[in-house]
Amino acid sequence: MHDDYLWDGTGELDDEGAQMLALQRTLAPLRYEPEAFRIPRSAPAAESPFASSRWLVPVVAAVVAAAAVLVLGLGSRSSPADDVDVVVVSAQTSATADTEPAVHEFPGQLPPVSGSEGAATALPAKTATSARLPERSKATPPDPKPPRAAKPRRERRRTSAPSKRSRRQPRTKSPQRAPVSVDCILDPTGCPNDGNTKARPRSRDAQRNGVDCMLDPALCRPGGTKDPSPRSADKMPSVDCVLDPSKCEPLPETLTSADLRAGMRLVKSRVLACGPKHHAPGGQKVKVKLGILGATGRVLDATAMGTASDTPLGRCVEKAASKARFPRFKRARLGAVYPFTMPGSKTTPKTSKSAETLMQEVSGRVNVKARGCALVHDVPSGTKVDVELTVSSAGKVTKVRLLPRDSLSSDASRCLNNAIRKLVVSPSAAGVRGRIPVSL
Amino acid sequence: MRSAGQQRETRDRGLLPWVTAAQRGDRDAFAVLYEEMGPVVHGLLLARVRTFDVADLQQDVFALALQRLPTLQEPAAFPGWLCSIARNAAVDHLRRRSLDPVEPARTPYALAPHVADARRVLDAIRRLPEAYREPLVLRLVEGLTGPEIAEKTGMTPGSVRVNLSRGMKRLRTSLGVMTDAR
Repeated sequence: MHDDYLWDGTGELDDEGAQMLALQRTLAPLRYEPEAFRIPRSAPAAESPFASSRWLVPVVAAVVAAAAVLVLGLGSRSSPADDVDVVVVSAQTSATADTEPAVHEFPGQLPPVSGSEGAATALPAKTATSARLPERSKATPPDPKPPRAAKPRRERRRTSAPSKRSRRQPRTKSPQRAPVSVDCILDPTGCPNDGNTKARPRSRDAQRNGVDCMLDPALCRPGGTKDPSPRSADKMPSVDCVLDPSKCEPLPETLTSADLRAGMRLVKSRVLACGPKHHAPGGQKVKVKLGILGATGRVLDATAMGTASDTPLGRCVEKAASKARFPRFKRARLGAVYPFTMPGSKTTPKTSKSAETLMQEVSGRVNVKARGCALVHDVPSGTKVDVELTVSSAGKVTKVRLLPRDSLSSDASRCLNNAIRKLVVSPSAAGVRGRIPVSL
Repeated sequence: MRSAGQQRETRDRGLLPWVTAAQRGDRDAFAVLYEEMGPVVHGLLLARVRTFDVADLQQDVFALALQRLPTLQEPAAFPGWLCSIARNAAVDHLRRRSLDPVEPARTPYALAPHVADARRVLDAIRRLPEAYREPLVLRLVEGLTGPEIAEKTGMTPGSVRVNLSRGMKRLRTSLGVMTDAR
């Protein structure tokens, strides 16, 4: 047959066969060049008997989580005290997440921690709740977001409304609260002397605190106990104190660990936000040395220590930590070192490891594009160029730089630039910058 | 890279054992399939989409194939199945980008003469009916023989032969007309 050559290359090479050969030679530049296949991460490693029933996993997890939430919800409704204790426990856990503050006083050591938080852990209701909390975390499927995401909100709620919290705390300790009569409200002196009235302004406190108590009843505290809430750091001196300094409340000698923690809670979310902002790996500890002025309770200087010192991350942490406010104290100055643990960021691929991933993923494709451009623009073979890529968080190539700049003709570099910009990178390697060596 | 023994085995026994092994999760077996079917997928894509998009799409096609391979019920149907994935990927790509598969005649960059000629011929092939495009690209660009095309695309040898012959005639006419026009 006359088309045998076309069919399988056998037979007589006639004019048509010669034409076909010429076409094959012409089309040779477009021929497939073997390229390594990059197996996507999401690809299955092997056939699994559960492969077809993968949808069951999230469903089962959701059911278990719902059941756990239901159990917790019922448990917490059975006792009003539990509701508050959950908050207390979470406060404890969030405090421990930052680790205990290592306090180094420049003139001497701080007294040992004897804060109210330590006492709260001894409550039986609290231990019951704290034992339940891990169950809930076990029941829910592994959360891709770091648990840190929920904490700042809880802290904000706690720190932004300290007066509400301070009102709720005594209620947990005296659940048998009697209703307050109208007479008692109109004339507090006629109230029965029980646990509830202790928290209310009594005549002795009213006399002692005067205008302060009238303006803000939350400040009327029996016995002048110090409110450890951060807001107390900003507490203004009373009018009596301003008029007659001898009537001022005595200042504590120095700050306790609880005071430090309370003050740092205000700025914690701002400090932790520095981690993702400066691509700090999750779990990195940044210690800040604080100098606190006793007269004002403000931070005089904050210095990041260790590996973070003199880095953008360290400067960010310093700036955020210097906004902390503490209760005033007698000593002129107090030095403290406070450690922060940076949260795992969503953009952790910005570490060097993810840059490697990007290189592996894109390198082959960039080389193919480069060879195409080299072919089109007659770039001498063996030319070596480094391509610097910046990939956006959406996985698109946003910036391409060829190094050295004058290694390719303007046409060839434009061609390569345009070709590489069309690449779309998988989200796992998104948001990074890296350099790929290309041999043309 | 495959050993000579592996290559011979592939030729003798076809792709079936490799498909079965790849379905069980054997990555090396899938590498063999990738190597064997790479030119075919490349050719099928080249017949439909722009040259610059082919490499990316080819990776996508094999990634999808790797993902869906366990769901392939008849391992013998692998070549046709993979070709269908490639064709669908090309159609999706064109639909997404609303691109004309024929590359624009005037590009902002001057093409090297031999590449310009290759593009001209490829554009002529792309203007042919779809049934002729694939065998012609696989034969003329990828250098596969007729029996190989039939085996690796799942088409019957008869239809490949007919399409090759008719497509070649139309291509000659098309190129002749273009030459006359110039």
